[in-house]
Amino acid sequence: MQKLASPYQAKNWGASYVEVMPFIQEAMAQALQELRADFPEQFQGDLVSIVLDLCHPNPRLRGRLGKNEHAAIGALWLQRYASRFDVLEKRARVRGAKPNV
Amino acid sequence: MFDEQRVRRVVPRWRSSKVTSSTIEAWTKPSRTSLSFDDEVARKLTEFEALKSVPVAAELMFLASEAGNSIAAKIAAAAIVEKADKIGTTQLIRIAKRVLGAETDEHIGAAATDFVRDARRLLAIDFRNPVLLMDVARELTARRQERAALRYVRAAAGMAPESRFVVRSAARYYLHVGDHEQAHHLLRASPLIATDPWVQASEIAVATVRGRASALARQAGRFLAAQKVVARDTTELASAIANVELLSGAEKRAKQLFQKALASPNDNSLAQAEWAAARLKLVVDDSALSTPFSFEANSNNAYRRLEIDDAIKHAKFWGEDEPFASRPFSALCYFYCLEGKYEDAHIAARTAATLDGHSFGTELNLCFTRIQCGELEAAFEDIVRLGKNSEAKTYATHLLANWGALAYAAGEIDIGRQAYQQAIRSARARNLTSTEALARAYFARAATLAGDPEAPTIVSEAATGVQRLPSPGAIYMMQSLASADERKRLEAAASARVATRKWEWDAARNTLHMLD
Repeated sequence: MQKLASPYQAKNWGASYVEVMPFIQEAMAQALQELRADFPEQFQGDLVSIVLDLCHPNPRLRGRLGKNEHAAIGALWLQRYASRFDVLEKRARVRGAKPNV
Repeated sequence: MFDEQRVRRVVPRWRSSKVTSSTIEAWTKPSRTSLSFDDEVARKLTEFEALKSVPVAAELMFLASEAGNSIAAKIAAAAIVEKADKIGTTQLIRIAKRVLGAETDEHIGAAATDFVRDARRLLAIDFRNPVLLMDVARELTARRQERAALRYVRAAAGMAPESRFVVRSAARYYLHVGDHEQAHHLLRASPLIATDPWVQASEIAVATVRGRASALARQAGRFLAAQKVVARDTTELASAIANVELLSGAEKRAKQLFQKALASPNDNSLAQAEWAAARLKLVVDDSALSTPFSFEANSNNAYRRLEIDDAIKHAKFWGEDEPFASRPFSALCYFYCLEGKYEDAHIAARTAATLDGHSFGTELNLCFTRIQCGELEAAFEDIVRLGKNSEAKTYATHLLANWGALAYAAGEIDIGRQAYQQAIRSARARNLTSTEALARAYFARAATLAGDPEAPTIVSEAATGVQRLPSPGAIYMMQSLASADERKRLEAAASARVATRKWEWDAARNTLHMLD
């Protein structure tokens, strides 16, 4: 919310959500760009896409992680994300075990 | 060439989203339902007291900050900072420190060196970002990459037809590239057209660009005419309708609407009123001129008051504000020419010509500044080339005046004099009063500088002539050439054209009597 200019903040905005959504999307992208640096380099893309997917300002686009980006059953079918984290964890272990050549 | 009488319309401004967010255009009428996060903060605080984990603390910190509960926010931030060793130097720690006041509120991350490159990085995270897409399109348009910008504009307009910023910016893009029909269609197709006065103002303005009558103008005009005072979010709408009235000859109604628009103007409605001020004798006072971003209005106002240095200063800001538009640079070129600063005028003319794709008008400016900078060979070729152009007849007066300037600069005094005289006759035949005034003034200046033996007569005739013609620029030029008596008359003629507020002394006295 700190990325959002004052007129678009909840306390000031008087029109519909759909009208302010583009500005929230922009603020979200900025916040994700900053958050990206906090993640290990090799997983930045995956983790940022998971965060975006779970918190997308557009409710219609939220919770769509998957091969075809189709909406999962229920708004937040978290099993997909559990699997995704599992994959990331395994990948991290394999990379960690890889001998330095 | 700078056409002072060129029609101006209240087409939407196209600024970056960041700048737009600091203007009144970004604001909406406040919601009737008041937002309160107190219950949620209290619940989260209870949860935090039970489980002092970092995720709960983070949620509490952000929620309490948003709710303005700095005590709860600081408690949560302190809990996060306590665990900084385990978390590492992350964004969360930086924000927590900022909440505690231990870190300044500076923007994290280096300032953008290349906006488009940095924006593309953000778009790689999520391309569904219509505001950023429009910002990139603006930057590309300013770099004269309109075709590349089109992709971004199309995508943004498709994604956010209900965003005032996106719809108005996209419409301005289409106007800029000459696709007026698409600009109009976009505004009319927006779901906001029925309710949003900003989009309505743009629709009315774009309809006049297309030579069409907007169905909204009459309805909105009736509504605004019935209002004693117009709200700040309808200032552009009032101005757009006032312009429609002015163009249709209803000057009284136009003046009333402009006066309402001036009660709480934005930079665009102010610039429109300032443009119409001389014709309608509108008072544009200092409080209106202090409207943020009103560079165009201030430049025009300073010009009308013959304060050309100020006009130049504001025109430069205007050019920075609208870097894709040729109009500020044409104005800048004109002001520099009035001052005789031809090197600067040449740079401004070149920028204007580049920005508007070397139109005939900007090419004429470029040619004139070349003559004044001594590039006579190139200017000669320009005039021959422009003379063969199909638009030459429309711009015959300016072309002849350029020819006169070239001849005088080359020492061909008789040819120069004849060409200027022909230019003046041409302007008069076409009833181009402002152009005639400028042709007379430039003629007088060129004749004086070239040592034309008839210069005293030319100057005297020009000094008399420009007083009855509506060009502050011509008067300004003649002031430096005319005699002291003539100069006073010129100054009086110019100041009489700037309407100023007349104080009602009687009313004040009456009030004081009542106090007695």
